[in-house]
Amino acid sequence: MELKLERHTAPSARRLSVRLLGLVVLHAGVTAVLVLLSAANAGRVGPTNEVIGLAAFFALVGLLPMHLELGRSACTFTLVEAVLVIALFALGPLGVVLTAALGEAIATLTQRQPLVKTLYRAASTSSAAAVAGLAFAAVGGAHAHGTAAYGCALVATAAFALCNHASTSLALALSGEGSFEDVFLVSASLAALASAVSGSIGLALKALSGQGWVAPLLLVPLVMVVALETRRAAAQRAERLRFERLYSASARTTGLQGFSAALAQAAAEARVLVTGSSAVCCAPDRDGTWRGMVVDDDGPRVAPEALLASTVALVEHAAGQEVRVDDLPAGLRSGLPAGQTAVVAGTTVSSAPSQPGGIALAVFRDFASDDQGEARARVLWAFVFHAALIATNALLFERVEEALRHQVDLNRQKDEFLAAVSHELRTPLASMLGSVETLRRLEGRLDADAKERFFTIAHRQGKRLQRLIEELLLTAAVEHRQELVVPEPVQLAEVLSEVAEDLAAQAHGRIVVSCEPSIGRVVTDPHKLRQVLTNLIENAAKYAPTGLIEVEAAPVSDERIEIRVIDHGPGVAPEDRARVFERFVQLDGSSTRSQGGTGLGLYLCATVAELLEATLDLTETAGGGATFVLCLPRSHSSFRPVGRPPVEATATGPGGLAGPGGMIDGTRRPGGPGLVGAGSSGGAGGFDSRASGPTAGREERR
Amino acid sequence: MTRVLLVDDDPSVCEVLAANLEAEGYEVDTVGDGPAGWDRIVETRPDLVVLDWMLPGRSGIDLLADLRRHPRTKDLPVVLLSAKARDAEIWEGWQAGANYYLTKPFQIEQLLYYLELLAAESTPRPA
Repeated sequence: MELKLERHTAPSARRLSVRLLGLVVLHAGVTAVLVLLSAANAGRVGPTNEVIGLAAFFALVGLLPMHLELGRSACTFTLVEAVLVIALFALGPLGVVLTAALGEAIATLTQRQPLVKTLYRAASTSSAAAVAGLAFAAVGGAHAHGTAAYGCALVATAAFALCNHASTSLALALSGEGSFEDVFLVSASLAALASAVSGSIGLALKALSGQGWVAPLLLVPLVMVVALETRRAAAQRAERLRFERLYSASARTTGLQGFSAALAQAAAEARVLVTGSSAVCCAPDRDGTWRGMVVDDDGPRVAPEALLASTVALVEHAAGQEVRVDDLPAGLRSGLPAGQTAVVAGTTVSSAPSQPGGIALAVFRDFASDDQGEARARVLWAFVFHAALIATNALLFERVEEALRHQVDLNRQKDEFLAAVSHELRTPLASMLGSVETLRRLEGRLDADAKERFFTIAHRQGKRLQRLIEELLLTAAVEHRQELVVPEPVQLAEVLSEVAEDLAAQAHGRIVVSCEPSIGRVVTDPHKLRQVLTNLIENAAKYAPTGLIEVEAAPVSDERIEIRVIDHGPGVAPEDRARVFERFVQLDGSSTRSQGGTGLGLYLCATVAELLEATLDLTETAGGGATFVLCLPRSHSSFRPVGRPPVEATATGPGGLAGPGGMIDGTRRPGGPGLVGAGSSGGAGGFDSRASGPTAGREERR
Repeated sequence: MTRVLLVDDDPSVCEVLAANLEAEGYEVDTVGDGPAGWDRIVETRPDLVVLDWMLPGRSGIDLLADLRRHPRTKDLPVVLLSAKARDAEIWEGWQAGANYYLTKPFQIEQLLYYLELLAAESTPRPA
């Protein structure tokens, strides 16, 4: 008899085997002692053909499990007691032991149960049969007749059932179901009922066999009906238990968690749900890449590549089924555990909003497929929808978490930017105010040269502040997309040579322009393009004090043109190349812009390039130096040859910094530039406001 | 004559400071980056140091912490003069062992006053 209790955790099979082997040894010992005792009491075996026949009968009824349920407990039993009753009357105590041991062994082997289980059941049945045989002999059953004999047989059957139940309870207690007393008592009434039914059928058989060989056969339909009915009840109970587990598994998996954790939990719950040894749960992540977690006795871990791929393929091949891994096509088997049965559920194609790209769930079982296979596949199929849901929720959760992190990051960046701006404004202001204060403090003690020097410092730093403020405002405008792009057809070669001409003096004539004539006209915002190129060339002039500065333009495709600004200076290390486009980055860690820049130039270049729908990259010049590559579209997408935006709208721009007469343009008063001597490095460069235009830069250049 | 070392990578600030300090009778030496600042301090043993924070090569705050770790320089009076003006940064500057922390833009009179105090404290210094 086998008890079925509520259990959610499968104990480690290895540990259970060791414990069961201990029980086998115990039972074998008990049997041996009892057999010796019987033999000493002149116990007999009985006719060999009857032993074999009854053993076969024993095995036959052993293959016909019936189900009995009482309250929350249930048990599966067989009619072996009936055979035992007949054996008691037909054979001696030794014959009974032999019949039971043989019959049970054949039955379990036919069911393809593991060896250790076969051994255990044969040993426990034979020891119980030995007890029954001895009990029957002790109460004098062999010599009794009529009702007395039946009473003796019932006593022996009760002894058999008691031993069997005790042994089963012990085995369950050892496998961690609870203490022996609990297990024994909770199902004692069931066991008594089962053995009473079985024993009475045996007695009925015995009574009917007195009427000839046909009469016992009359019981067969009755037994068949009982067997079928209890089978249905057992299936229903199993189904109910599975759905109870399904609901509790679903309830346990509703917390907020990351994607991998969700997959691992789904796999763990699925493994328990259909009592497998391992389980894999895979789902596509946000990029659409399949990711999987596997759970077994050692806990969850990332599924190996082969297992992941095979599981996904398995779902396409056998979703909703229970299949033997060894029966699968060779291509599907790689990575899957050989010799096991796989319960598969899921879909690899999106079929519902809750499944963005599908889900694959496979549970691997040590046991051969049985009649419950379809039911297991069904309940796993029900669970897989929940698994898909929690995987999706986990993705959403990760996305929300990431958005939050991004916000926090942006906030931190804003703080850092503000601190950097404060720092950048304070540095030139310190020199400017310091110079002015010095001029005032030491008025009488400074010679003309020194005075001139301090005026120059004050002016230069003032200009630097001006440029910084302009660029900051431009940064804000560009970042808030308040800068309008006004594309118009321009001759690229003309723009390039104009910029080069403007900067020729500053770069000490090192600029060389080459423009493929095939480029001709491009449609872009010439002012912004000029700004970017001016800054790139100024940058090259600053950081590459010697060597040519080459500006090359060439088409790279029908749609795009590449403009390269090549210098032969020290270049930028590969790991720093992305950083040069960040705001206020000084690669050497200094605070002062020793080269007179604002720390925003290249950042603005990149941002304005983006407005122009261009990309700006930094690479290495062959032989050393930096090469900036501006990849510009031939035509800006916002260009409308007919119905262009009116000019006024572009001159001021919403919230633009270039309003005529705006505060920052106030430096071009007559007399203002008087201080700009030949030595002044007048800071106005490419990114001055539109109203002052490039002429302002030209005027105050070195 | 009290010798002051200016460590700042901004030549304008150095020039402004040098003019004012020399007018007050200090002997002024100037150096433009972190490692050179360390070398100059070790070589010339100035009486006072005016130190910027953000310097090429090695930051002023690191330099200051190193000065405070060495027995021979741990009492060297240092005024940190930096454009870093957030509370946390000023606190960090004091923590590193600055005798005074001045934020840019600064009042020349204030710096001169601090240097005067520090010079007065350290002149009768034994050893």
